[in-house]
Amino acid sequence: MTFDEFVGARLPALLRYATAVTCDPHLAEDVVQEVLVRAQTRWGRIGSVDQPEAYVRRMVLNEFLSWRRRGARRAIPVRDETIATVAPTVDDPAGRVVERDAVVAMIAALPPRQRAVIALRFYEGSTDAEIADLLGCSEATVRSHASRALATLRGSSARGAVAGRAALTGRGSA
Amino acid sequence: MITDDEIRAALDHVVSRAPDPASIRAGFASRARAHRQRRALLFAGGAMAASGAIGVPAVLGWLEPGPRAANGQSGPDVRTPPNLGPAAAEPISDAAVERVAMRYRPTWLPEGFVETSRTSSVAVDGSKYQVREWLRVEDARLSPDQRSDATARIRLVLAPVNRLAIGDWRPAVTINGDDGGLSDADDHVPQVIWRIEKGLRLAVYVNGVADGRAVAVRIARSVKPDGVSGVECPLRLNWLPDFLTEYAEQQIKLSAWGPTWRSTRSVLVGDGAAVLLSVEYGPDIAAPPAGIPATVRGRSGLTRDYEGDAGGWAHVALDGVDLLVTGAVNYDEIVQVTNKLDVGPRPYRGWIGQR
Repeated sequence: MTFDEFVGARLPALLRYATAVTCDPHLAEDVVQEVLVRAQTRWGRIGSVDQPEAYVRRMVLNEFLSWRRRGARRAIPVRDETIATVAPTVDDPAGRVVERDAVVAMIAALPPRQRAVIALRFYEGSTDAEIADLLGCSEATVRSHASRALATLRGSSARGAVAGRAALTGRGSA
Repeated sequence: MITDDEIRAALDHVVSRAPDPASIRAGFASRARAHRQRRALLFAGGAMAASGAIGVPAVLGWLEPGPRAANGQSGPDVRTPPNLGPAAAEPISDAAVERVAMRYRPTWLPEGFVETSRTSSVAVDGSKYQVREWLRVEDARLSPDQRSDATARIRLVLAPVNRLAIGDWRPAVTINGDDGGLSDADDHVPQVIWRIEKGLRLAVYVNGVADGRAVAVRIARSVKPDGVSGVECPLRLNWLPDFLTEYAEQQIKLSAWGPTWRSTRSVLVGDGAAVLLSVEYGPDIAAPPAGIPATVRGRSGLTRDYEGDAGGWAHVALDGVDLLVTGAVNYDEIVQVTNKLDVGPRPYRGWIGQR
């Protein structure tokens, strides 16, 4: 498979994957572009491995996790305007939209590794062993990231629900 | 409390807003180009040198005056050597991949100096950079690593005027009717620079020789057009990554010490300020450390692709002569450059060790 064939066939899936992992469509675009530029220059090797897409997905994950270290070109915590572009739809009942948006915002606010673990577990359906392999850490570490992330999400959910209802009813929360 | 399904639903919703693949494709070309340029600058900036693996040969190195002349200069009296004869005719092989005629030569040199190196740029509009170097016979046997700042060395350099600045040196000298600059007595390696033709200057550097400024002026005044001497290169680059083909200027060099010789072809950037890709060919070229076995030109060789876009290299032995390709390119490109390279017969070296 040539690089162009790979991009033609797998780019949409890569973008979905990157969006799930980063929880930020704008960052996902940057990460995928950067990864593809690098993958193109190494395609002779990448294209010859058994699963080029798995290799490139690992590059996407590593690129996301190293993004802040390489100069903070874009802050990892998702911006309000990004959430706004992610959230609105017109066909959801208002209450569900608010709750879902609150969950999105909470996931987006997780530290990058925890965010990646949540995306890989709940969107990709990866096992702890597969996530550990991707992240280059132990399964125990994966479980630790997941546990902390879920504790954060579930600990925040009550506060988020109160705030969401308050916004809908126009009343302030206690 | 948030359930697993709610998390999945939130992620599904985020993913439904994934970027349009068309926008990625539209921006890809410009991003790839920027990446290449960044990588080239990284390489030119000495990233590989910093890695400790390979020194990046800067073309400026042969234009700059070099280290301060050593105290206690020594050597034979240079006042009474004979003038040199006319440039000796050199055989021109049809098989040579490239040969460039040297444009100028001195007709006088201090006694005991022999030529050890010739370098020339190769450009569609003619050679703008040329360097010839002479060392004492005893030093000519030493490898470059064995020479020191005090090694007696004479260089004749041709370069565009913007690369050979005369500055405010005093006193000015006249070289064959043209005003020139002579270095201060206690400042630089003794050197004289003068205009030789429109847009070009010549310089003579004399290091480690007694009364170097007077020697430099005498050599400069003896310079005549050459056109007979030449530098052969057995290497031709038949393929380069797109971003390197923008740099049309290449440099070829042939040097020798003792029984060893080295032919080099390089791709230059920034008006000769740095080398982006270099091919070295000759006996006893060691592979840099930490190479990975690979097939290079159909033989067992070594390659390495440095992390962080710091370039890579490929090394292979061809019938007892080593080939090393180093550049600001990745693994695939370095292998392709190496595989598609023309390697001709060993270059003519009869001028080495001669006056």
